[in-house]
Amino acid sequence: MNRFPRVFCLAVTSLLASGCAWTERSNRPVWNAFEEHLVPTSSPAFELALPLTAPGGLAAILIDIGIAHPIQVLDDAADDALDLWDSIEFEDRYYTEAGFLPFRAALTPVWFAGSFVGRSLFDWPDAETAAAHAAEAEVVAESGQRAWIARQILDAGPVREGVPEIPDGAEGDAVLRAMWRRQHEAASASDRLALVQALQFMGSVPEWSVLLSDPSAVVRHAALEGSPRSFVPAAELSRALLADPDEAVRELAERRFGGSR
Amino acid sequence: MLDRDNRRLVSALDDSLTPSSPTARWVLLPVAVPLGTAALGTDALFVHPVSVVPDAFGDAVELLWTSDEESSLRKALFTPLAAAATPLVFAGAWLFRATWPVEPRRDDGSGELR
Repeated sequence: MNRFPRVFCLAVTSLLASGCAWTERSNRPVWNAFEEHLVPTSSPAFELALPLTAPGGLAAILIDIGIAHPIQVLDDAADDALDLWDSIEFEDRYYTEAGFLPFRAALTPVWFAGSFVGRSLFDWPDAETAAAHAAEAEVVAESGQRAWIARQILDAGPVREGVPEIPDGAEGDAVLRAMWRRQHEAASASDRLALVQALQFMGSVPEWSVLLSDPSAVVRHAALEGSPRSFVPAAELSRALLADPDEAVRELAERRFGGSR
Repeated sequence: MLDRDNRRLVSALDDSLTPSSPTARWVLLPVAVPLGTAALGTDALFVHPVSVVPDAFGDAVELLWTSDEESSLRKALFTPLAAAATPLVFAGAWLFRATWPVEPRRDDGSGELR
């Protein structure tokens, strides 16, 4: 029996089924060029050209999947394989690294082949794109975190306002600190206690001095407990806490500052 | 073998016989590669599997023979089962510890498979 038709159909089906990579525009250069330069955009030219553009388009898809995109990913697959040879530390682990060299050498073509096939079939980002995505995700996470912290500050304080747009970086930190101070200025003792926790999320340092000087001993104690170890108050404030009228605050201050004053 | 603590033989070579100069390290590489590979193989197939036998035995004892809560009658009834299961649990623990990077048991016997 002639097996050629079945093999051909299987090959075409496999190539078409491996179109996951083809869903990304940058992975189909031949199709993009074909569509941009040879496919009419206006009607009725588009319909009249269909008997030619349809098979031409199919051929462009097959060339992208079988030839063009695999060529595109050759260098990325090579980079993936070369990653196996990174971080060889002969100085610290000479015989260990030497002993692993044959395994690295044997694994390199396997790694290359696996990466080449995977990148040809699926839309795997290259190292530069993956790093950009990771950086973008980090920025989004930080933005989300700042918005969440802003919500905590607003929920803790008495002033009702909406969550503003929080910029990234130091500017965003300054916006959060300004929000916290606005809430603190209008806060009761209970609100100030809640603002202690919000300040812990912010990681900001100068505002701790404000809370450590609070009229309420409960707030002072909470601030002493919640302030980071890296925060060292001014000498005068430390002395005031060590001589605090509240016994619990004095004891906690003694544990924090007593040895260093 | 990816954990340094499990590569006793080759780590001893690293600590005692590594040339200090980069040139000497490159010149010695044709000797170091087969020596390092042989040491890694010896660690993987003999040294490390033998070294984890006491820990595997301790795992089996802790699992099957150590209980503070059972009554004497329950312990007596469970003893034959524990005796029958001990070789199996020991073998499984030994194989797992010989294959994967597992924390060794602590001296007070309070360590456990992680």
